[in-house]
Amino acid sequence: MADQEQPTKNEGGETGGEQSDNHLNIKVNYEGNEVFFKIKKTTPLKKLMEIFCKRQGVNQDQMRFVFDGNRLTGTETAEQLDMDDQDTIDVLVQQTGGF
Amino acid sequence: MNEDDEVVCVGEDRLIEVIQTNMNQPSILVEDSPKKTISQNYPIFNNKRKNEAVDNGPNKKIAKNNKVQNAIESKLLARSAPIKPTPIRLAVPHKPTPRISHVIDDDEDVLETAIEVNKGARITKLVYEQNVVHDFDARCLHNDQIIKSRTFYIGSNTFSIELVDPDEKLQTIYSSFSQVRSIIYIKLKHFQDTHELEYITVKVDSIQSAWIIDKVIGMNARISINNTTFPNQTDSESKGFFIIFPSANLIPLLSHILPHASTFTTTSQLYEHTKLSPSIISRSLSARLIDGRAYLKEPINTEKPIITYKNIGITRSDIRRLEENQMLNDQVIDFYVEHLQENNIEKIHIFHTTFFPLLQKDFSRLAQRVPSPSTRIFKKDLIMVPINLDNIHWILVSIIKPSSQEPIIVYCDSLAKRIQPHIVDRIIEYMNMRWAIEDSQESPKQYSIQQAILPQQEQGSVDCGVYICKYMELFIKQYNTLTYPINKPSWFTKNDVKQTRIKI
Repeated sequence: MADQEQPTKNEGGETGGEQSDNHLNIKVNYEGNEVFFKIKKTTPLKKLMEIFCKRQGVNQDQMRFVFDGNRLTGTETAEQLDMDDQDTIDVLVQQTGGF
Repeated sequence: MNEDDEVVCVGEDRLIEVIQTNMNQPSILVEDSPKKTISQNYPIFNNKRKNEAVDNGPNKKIAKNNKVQNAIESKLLARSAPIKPTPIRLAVPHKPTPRISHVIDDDEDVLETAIEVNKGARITKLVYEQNVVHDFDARCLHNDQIIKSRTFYIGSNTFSIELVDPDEKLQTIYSSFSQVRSIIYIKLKHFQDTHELEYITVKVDSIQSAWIIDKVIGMNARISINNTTFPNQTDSESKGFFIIFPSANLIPLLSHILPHASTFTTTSQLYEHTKLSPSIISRSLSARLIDGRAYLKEPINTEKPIITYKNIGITRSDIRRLEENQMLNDQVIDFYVEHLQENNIEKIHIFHTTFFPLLQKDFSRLAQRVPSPSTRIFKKDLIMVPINLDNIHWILVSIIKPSSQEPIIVYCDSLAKRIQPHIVDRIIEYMNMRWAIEDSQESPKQYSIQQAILPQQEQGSVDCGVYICKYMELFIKQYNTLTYPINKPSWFTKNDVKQTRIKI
């Protein structure tokens, strides 16, 4: 999955949307609401997860981030997961059960 | 938390708003009239009341059982004769939710948030959840021209931006700004960890005092005014309005304004003061967080997983769930799923616990993408789906020999409740969709549905998660030799259940 390393451009950190090649727009779907993230392909998704949880005011321990049925730990990058633009990450709350 | 914990703010000479963000959206206070003196008294209701007020016109009195609110309301209505436009929130049904997107920029260590609002919306104030806002820069983009706005530093958990600048020049720009679909950009430095966050909490006895504080200190200090009522609370001491400030530096100023207010700088002091058991407080704290209205915030201590296996990180508290009389959570079950699947990847596919809820939510996307199309689930001999019911119960649905002519769906429930048809229907729907994706030549298979008679958990025990794990384990071992329908009430014993807990 991670075998196609794209050359990463790091041009002095110019912000202006010029680096859109390196960025992906990712939808985060949580309880029917969508929040959009634009993130670099090479940034670990941890950052996204943290920001999402902080913004939502939820405890990250109880959140499950799922991409295509697989859990995300946060160390992955979009590139490693072969994510495409507009892909969706689903967020679920912890489930428990006993009775 | 119940919805009735409402805050009624009675202000003197400016628009008052309740910081009450919905969980997932920032609440944006929008005015319909372009120009308005924001200098009158204003009753603020909760969302529902506010909507009603919008529908009925502000001068109609809404009969409510809350006497105090009504009293304040009618007083206000009597005093303020001219009908004022009622502020409404974007969150009301007929207004589209603003689209929020974040841009994470590693190089600059900047997080940029763009909030797109609709045409015609004139934003007076934006309240958005955020942990630490050190300094930020809000820009409005209008005709590619960036408009700087006056921004306010609010505090640790929320910030709000007032886009209406008292400066006349800016006012004009903003009126034209409302003509287009506009995007507000908020750019901020990455925040530090919340753990370090210092805040003080001030308890005051009335909303008026809270309001005074708010007025004197102004936007720079206020985070939230909340009417805090803890559940099962008899001690009237602990009832009151809490205001939380971002920094203890404000204490001298506060004690000057409100000598009688009690201030707490830490949550433990709050515990001490309210004499509530920490569990009650933390429960109400977290409840408040969940419904997105509270800013009394415990630092979130994210537990580091101690074992990570195939992306399933198990933390200490997850492990504690394996002790007796604890419910299993999804993490533990998925961990076990991965473990079981490890040696049987060719023949067996076990879905994660996240599969079914997502299938309910977004069926076609899931069916197309999970598992990845290269995985042929019809080549497998056994498919199992652990499913959580209402966050209290685990069941297992197994599909035996999906490749064969007569696949069987076995419904396993350690409480032997009746089969829930919607679950089985969903699974069949999924299987048919997958069938179409993987092998579109033939018509869908007919599944026979059976409920397995299996060892049952004891009344009052919380072992169903363990039973599910055990069922899965035995299915893997014996699916070939089992006779269907399964009638094995003594497939394993209670002792095995205990053993399984230990083993997992």
